[in-house]
Amino acid sequence: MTPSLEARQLTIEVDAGRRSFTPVEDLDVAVAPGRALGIVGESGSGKSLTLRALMGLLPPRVTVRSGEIRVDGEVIPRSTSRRPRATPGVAMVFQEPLGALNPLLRVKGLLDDVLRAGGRSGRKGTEERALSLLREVGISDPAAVMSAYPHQISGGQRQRVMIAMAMASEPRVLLCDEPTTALDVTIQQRILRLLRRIREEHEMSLIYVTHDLAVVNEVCDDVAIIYAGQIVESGKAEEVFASPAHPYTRMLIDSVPDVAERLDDLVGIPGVAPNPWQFPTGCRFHPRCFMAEPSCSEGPAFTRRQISTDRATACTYAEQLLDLSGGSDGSAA
Amino acid sequence: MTAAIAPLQEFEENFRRRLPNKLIAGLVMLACFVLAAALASVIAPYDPNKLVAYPLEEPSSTHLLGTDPLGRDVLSRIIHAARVDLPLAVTVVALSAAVGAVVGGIAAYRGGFVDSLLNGLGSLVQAFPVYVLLIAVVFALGPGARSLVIGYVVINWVIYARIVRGEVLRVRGLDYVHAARGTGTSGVRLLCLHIFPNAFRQVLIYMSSDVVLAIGTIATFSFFGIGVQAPTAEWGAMVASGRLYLTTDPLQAIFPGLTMIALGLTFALIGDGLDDHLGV
Repeated sequence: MTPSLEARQLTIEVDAGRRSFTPVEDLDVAVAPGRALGIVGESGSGKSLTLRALMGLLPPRVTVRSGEIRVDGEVIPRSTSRRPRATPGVAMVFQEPLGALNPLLRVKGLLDDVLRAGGRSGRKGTEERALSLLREVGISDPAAVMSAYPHQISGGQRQRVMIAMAMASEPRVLLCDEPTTALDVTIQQRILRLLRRIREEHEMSLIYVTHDLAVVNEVCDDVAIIYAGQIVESGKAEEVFASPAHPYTRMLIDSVPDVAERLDDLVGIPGVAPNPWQFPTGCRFHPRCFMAEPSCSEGPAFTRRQISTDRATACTYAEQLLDLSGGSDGSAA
Repeated sequence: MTAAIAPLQEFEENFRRRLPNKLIAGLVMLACFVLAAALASVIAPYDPNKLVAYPLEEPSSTHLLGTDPLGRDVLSRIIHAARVDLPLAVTVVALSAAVGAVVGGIAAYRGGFVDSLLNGLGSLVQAFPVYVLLIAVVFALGPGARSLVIGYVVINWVIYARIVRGEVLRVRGLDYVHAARGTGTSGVRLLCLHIFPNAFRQVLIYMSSDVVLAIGTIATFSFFGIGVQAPTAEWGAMVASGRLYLTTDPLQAIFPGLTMIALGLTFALIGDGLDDHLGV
């Protein structure tokens, strides 16, 4: 099936004055129609940049150097940071709702702006539409929220308003950049449920970027693990979490704290993620990997290979790892 | 209003209550000045340009602040001077801000060569000592209030251009502006709705302190006789005419001076209060 949204061989370049570097290199990622894809990685792995490239809204001094973005198989003309152009049919929910909402406009004005930019309705229709959007994202008193400024409503409501703004353009793919990181767990739960509901009702695809494995497990059908600007493993979320085929995934799962366990029992991953201007040669994860062999540090960056119909991994020793976790009962998931 | 929004009302009340005292004090003082200026002919006990008593009278019940070297009522002149100084200072600042906003906005928006050019132009203006340039402009155009305004704006726009440029660049990098641009919000609409209103807070705060500087400058130039011309009542000119009697009748210079200090304090309070309130 043709993916709804797809990045092929995406390389993103950051222009930092005299030197430039590529925090994302030859990255391939795709979301199928009606499915939810989670992109998981540490801070600085390039996950947010990838998402912004998919949205067509890269920050200044950041450009797509090579590769293409496709919507329903069609290549989208490249957007530049001087003249950004949102990818058609795609909308985004930002991480930080306060930065993503103009503080001087009431919610009414915010929605009015996106509705009119979409040119979908005249002046009269917009208010009706704005109210119904707010109702749809579960705001119990839309009329009152309409006349409030962003700083006057709660974090959860702000995030709902942002989802309503994203929904205003009737997108086919919704991109979420850790929309619940700033919220407490109970509110997070509600926002996730809301996302799942509107995705089902509108038959949208979803790409959800996060570092929180539990959230991915809850919201996503598929998962792609990103490390140092490349996808190292991809597949169905439950399969990947039950038996990871890349040591990085394995170690990520092992470093999720269990509420009942004490913190000093945590495994964690030794070392830190590499800087994007000095990625290691060969497999980029080898300096931190528990099963690295000398050959892992040689050659160009490791690319993913198919290990079953819908699973791919960049690890040479994936089979060994699978045997290993197959031996245990897969309790890590 | 239902439960969902009840905290909102509470918040709004809080918000209003927490309007900084400085800001309130400043605004009240400004209101007094503006009222005095607007109703000068009603409030002032005498005609500011008429000789109503002997020169250099001490303050008394008939002339609360005494009379000046020509025998005109000092209080009436101070009140009437507000009609000159206040509008002049506000005009100068508003014009500077307007010119600066346009230049700074263009510089930030266009970037590249245009940005460098406008920045260079600003540096060129700033390279001259302020007063030297101002005196040159005023002499070239002939003494008077109009020349003073033009000269002041020619120099003063640079600071506003710098502030606006920086702020526009900051705001432009925010997610909502980026998103609005991406979804096709057009140039003018984007500027008016998303960028300028959010970039203008700094400008507002700077303006209130700039008014103080402007009043000082206007008074200075009038003091030297190349600003507002006699016989128009103006605080700086009053200090100038009073300075000849500084040893015998110091009050001549002190009263208009105090008035300027009070007005300076007013705008300083407003600026400081705005700073607290807007939390830039």
